[in-house]
Amino acid sequence: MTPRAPTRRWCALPAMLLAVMFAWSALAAAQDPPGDAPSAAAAPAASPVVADPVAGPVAAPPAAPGPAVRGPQRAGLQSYSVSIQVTFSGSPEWTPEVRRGLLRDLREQIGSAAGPLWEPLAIKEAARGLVLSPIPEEGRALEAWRTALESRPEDKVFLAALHIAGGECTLRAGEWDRSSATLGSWSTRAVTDSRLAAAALTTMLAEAFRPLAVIRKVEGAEAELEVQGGELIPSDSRFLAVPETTVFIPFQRMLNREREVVRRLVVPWTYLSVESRDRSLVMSRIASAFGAPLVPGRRRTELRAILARPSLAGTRLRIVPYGNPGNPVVGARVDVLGGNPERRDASASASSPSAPAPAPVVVTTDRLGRIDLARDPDQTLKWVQVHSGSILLARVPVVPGIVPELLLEVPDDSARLTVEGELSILEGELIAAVGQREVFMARAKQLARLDKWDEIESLTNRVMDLPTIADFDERVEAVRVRGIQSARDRQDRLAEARINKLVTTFRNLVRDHLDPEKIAGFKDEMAELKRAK
Amino acid sequence: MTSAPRRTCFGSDRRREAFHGGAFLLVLLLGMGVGRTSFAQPAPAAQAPPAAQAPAADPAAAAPQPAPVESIESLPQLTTIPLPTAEQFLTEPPHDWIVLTGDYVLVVEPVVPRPDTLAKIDRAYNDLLRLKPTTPPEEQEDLQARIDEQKFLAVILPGESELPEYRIPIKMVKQVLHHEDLVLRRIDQLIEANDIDLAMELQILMERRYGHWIGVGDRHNKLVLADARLRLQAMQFEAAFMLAEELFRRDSQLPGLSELIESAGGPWAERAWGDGNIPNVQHVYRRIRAMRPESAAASGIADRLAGEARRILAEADQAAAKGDVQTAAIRAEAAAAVWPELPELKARHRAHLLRYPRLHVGTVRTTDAGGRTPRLVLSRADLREQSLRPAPLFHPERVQGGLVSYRTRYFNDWEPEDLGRRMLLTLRTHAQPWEMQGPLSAESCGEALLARLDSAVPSFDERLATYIDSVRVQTPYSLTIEFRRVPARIEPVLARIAVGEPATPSAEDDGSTARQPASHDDGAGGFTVRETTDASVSYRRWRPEPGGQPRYRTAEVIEHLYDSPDRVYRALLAGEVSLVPDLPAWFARELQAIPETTREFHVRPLALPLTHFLQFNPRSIPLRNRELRRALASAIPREAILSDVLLRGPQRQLGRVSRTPFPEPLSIARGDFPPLEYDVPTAIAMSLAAAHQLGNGTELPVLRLVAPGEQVERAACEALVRAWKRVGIQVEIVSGDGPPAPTEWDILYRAAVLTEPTIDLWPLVTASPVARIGDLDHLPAWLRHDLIELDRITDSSRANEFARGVLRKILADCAVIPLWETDSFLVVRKTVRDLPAVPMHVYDSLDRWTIEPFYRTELP
Repeated sequence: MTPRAPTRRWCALPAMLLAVMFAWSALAAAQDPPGDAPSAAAAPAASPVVADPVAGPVAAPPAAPGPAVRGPQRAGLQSYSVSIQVTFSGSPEWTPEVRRGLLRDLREQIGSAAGPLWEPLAIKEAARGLVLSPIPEEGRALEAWRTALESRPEDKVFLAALHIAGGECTLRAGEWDRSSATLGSWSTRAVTDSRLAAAALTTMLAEAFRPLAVIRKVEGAEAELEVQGGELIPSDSRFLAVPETTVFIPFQRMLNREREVVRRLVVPWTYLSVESRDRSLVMSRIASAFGAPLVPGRRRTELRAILARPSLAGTRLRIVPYGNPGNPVVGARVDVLGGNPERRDASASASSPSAPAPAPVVVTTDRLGRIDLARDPDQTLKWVQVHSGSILLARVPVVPGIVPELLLEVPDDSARLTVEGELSILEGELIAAVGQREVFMARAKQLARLDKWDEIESLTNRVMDLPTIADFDERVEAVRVRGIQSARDRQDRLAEARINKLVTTFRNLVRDHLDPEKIAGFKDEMAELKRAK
Repeated sequence: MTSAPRRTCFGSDRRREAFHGGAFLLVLLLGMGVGRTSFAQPAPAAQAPPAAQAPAADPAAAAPQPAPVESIESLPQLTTIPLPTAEQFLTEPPHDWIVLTGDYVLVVEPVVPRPDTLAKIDRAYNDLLRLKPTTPPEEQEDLQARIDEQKFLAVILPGESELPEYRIPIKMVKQVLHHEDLVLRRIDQLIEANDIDLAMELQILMERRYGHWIGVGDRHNKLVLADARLRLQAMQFEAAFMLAEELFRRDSQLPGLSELIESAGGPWAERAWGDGNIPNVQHVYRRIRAMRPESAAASGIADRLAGEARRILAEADQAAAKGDVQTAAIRAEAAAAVWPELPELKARHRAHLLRYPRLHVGTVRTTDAGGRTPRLVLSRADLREQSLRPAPLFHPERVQGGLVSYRTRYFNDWEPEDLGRRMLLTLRTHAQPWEMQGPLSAESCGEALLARLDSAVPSFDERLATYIDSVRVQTPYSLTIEFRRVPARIEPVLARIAVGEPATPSAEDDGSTARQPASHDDGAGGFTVRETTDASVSYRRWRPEPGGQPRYRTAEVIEHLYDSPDRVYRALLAGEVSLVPDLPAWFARELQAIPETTREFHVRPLALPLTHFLQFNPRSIPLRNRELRRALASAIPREAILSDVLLRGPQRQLGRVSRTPFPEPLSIARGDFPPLEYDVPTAIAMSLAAAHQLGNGTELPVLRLVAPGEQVERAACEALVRAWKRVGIQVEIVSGDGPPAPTEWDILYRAAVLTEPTIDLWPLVTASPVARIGDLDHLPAWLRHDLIELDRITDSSRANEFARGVLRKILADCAVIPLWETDSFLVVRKTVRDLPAVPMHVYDSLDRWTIEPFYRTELP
């Protein structure tokens, strides 16, 4: 009867099995090498395969490769040390022969496809009895294995799970990146014949592979990257280090004096959109919610980037006010754009005014402050603009499909909105007063031709009785004081400034339309007409 | 058809001949000097113009001077002169016939004195003679002149003015046939010729001009009698009977009348019987009996009706013996309708109707089958039908302290825990036999809630889904609701959740047998539609009361459709119905002033008046313009329309101009809301500003106003359109009756009872029945923010205060235009008991009502 509680029945067992397996295999793993050398821990082994998949890890824990030191090398020339852990479910179809055959096929296919890019390459059977469950649950399980994975020496650890039931073989695969200490997206595929599993898994691993890059230079809104292994061309284009159009996620690695990674910091709401590439060198444009998100050249700080591989159907963006996540921004207008709105504006005005940019998709946040952003294969990077009335609260780039949910904090605009509402009422009264004044004056001028001076006097009195600038000023000031106080209570100086601007604009409006000289002129005109009669 | 004009021409010629003959005869008579005395007295006319000066009726005849006639023989004789035709009587001036000695006829202008001219002249002559001995000598001459005057009959020839006048010696006058007698003669001839219409035309002429002439009244009776007999021959019994009633009023003992009554009333009743029109048979019976109580026809009708009533009553008894209490009640009512004077009827009718009480309701509008499809606005008939459905989890009970308080049919307890974040609901395990709904299990209750939390289903309630995080069934009769966000009041939120909607009964299921809810009908109940016809809709209790009860409650409701409130009221007085809901305020006021009404009926006001207001279509581009909305608001003469259309009088006891869309008994309506003034200058200014802003110069687009189907509201809409037209805003009315619901509209006239400000405010500005975030897109950001904030407030009093502030802004923004509120009434016969003292709606607690059997003994 609980609608929100997800089912957890099938996720615990495989998660535990896999966790135990990785924890156990990680006991002998080497420590994270100095960040200066991304693959330093992975020795350039003579053979890409370091474990016999047939013998498998069942009999004995897999021997983690020992720490090795590679000399300083350009990132573009550095390969990735890769470990692929394959888990078979407990289905009787997975006989030892079948498992051995599949691992052999996988080794052959990946070895020939990735070539020198993935060296050394270790493929081994990790454990048995994995019962597959939905991907989000796998993701949660993988998060639990993070400690074990962080101790792995390889640049990349691919986790693969195979299950067979009813003649259909289901494959799942995901990637762990040591440099960024992040898990990639988890993908699933099904094949009807287990003999096709190796080929399908090869494709899946190629799709899960997230190349790394070193941010060499940052100039304004552009950044130059050098992709690791970018010079090592694989024979299979699926394993290309950098696909044609893609986005990198930048992150920083903080090092200690020993050049060990102390912590990693993902630069929030910032992406590097690839614009051109020359082998391992990539020119990218910085898409960020901030003015200067990447500052290179600091000591003991490395700027890195990892390829964004969106694989989920989309990302749910939850928008909340700063410091008040329990009170989400509900009913806010959100524009979702395909490109940077600032660049769009510039290009639309300069280059091709006749071809306007596509209109943004306008959505509204729901009662929990959420919007759903769908993954778009053609447009990986999206820009999201959050509005509150005429005010832009936030403009951030998002790559939908990488994570299931993102939290976006925006300024609390309620104080300004309250003032705007009050001023809107006053504006209505102002328009009514101006309209009445014009009607009375026009009517009086008509009556002047008919010599009905009593009625004219009555109309003149009604004009004089209409609200004046002072009346409006008094009420506007009351609104302003309340709004400013509310903003100050929240220590929101931006809201304070916006309220002052709103009030000033409205006061100018009042002065423009309730000019007392106009009334004086009207009275003089009437007096003149009366004298002339 | 061609003979009439020919006769007329002929008649004219003959009359013209008679006229000329008379003129020449007069000349001759004057020359002879015949009279009572030996010498003829010179007539004044004779002194002036001779015969040659006598004017001719026909100019053609007047042109050549006719030669004097030598003898009286030139005049037509009485036996040969034709009687003027009916057309001549109707179109030409009246003329009398002077019959002279030798039966010669002289046609003259009407003579005086009349009637009985000769006798009156003779009496005057004798009276003067008797005066002669006592008259002084000096007056003798004058008296003699007057006596001589009486020896002549003064006449004016047709076509002449009063002068010259001719005198005919009385001795020569045999008879005077007056014009009136001639007309009566013609009427007699027409009656004999069965030309009733023409005869009646002449008769009407006679009655209008000469109503007191001897024989006119008799001729009327004769004419009507002849007409009735003719209609009898033509089998027009009703018409013949009506003529008989007319004759009865004129002369109840008229010879032949009794036979006419028998021969018209009997066959008429027979024909109505053949048509199955029992009320008509009763009607004939009553009318016969009113004239001839001892009539054989009346006795025959009474016997026949009594026999039929006994037969139907026997059927009722048989059905009751089989346990079919519904059929028994229906047949007992039918028997009472056939012959209420049956002696044994009362006791048996009472027994059957006490077991299966049926409530007859009179209304000008029922829910038609098409009305059960989605509509833009529910009519009052729709709302009545909704109130017959299974009760929601909570429903309004009364108004207390400016707020609506709720009660539930399902829960024993609903206790908040953990500062209101969790609520344990304990359901009732049993229901009283009279309750229209059975107990509800926790599982069904939970399912009803979850069905509103799933965004994939049409019943998804976005607001509720925000409040409720989870629903957990604890035991078969208890469940816990975990709130993600605590609502200010949970009752109004849950009051929108209906449960136990029963499956539609199959066609062959006539409901004759008691039915027990199946397991899947957990909590099912209410009243479901049993039958729909053009004239009525009947609803039957879905969960019948079990047998053996000391008292049974309302089992069935039959809504009868009438074409006007007046007709409904007549049906109420006639005993056809026992309850009349949704009366117009002016009609309720008139009813309260009638003593018979208050003696026999309760006129009960509902707890909350009906508020009338205007909503705007969020998709209407012109009406997003606030100046246009303000122009619409300022152009409405609320006081005038309220008085002229809704109340039909200046009294304000039953209606008033409202400042908010919420009824005045609610605390939110008592805020300091500025009145909406009728201000034509502002309206004109605003409409001009709106036209300018909309880019139409001074022209505004034609707006479409959706008017409800109710007559009063529709009339109010027409008045609004006229008012807007005066300030240059063109609005056309579209019917909101649907289906299909109108899609293109701008303004919506609503008459509704809004009970919960914190819940109803949102749909008010979005013109949507539910609160959806997506519907707020068109609103200004500040208003959107306020409405959302209102939903977030968890404290009831603060929520109400905030709602008042939001409402103030909404009204200032003219997002809704309040118009007026009218008190709602229901008139119910005092035989219907156990109603709430102040009902929240028409069928409030219907399953508790008891109905004392009643039928009207007066025949129609």
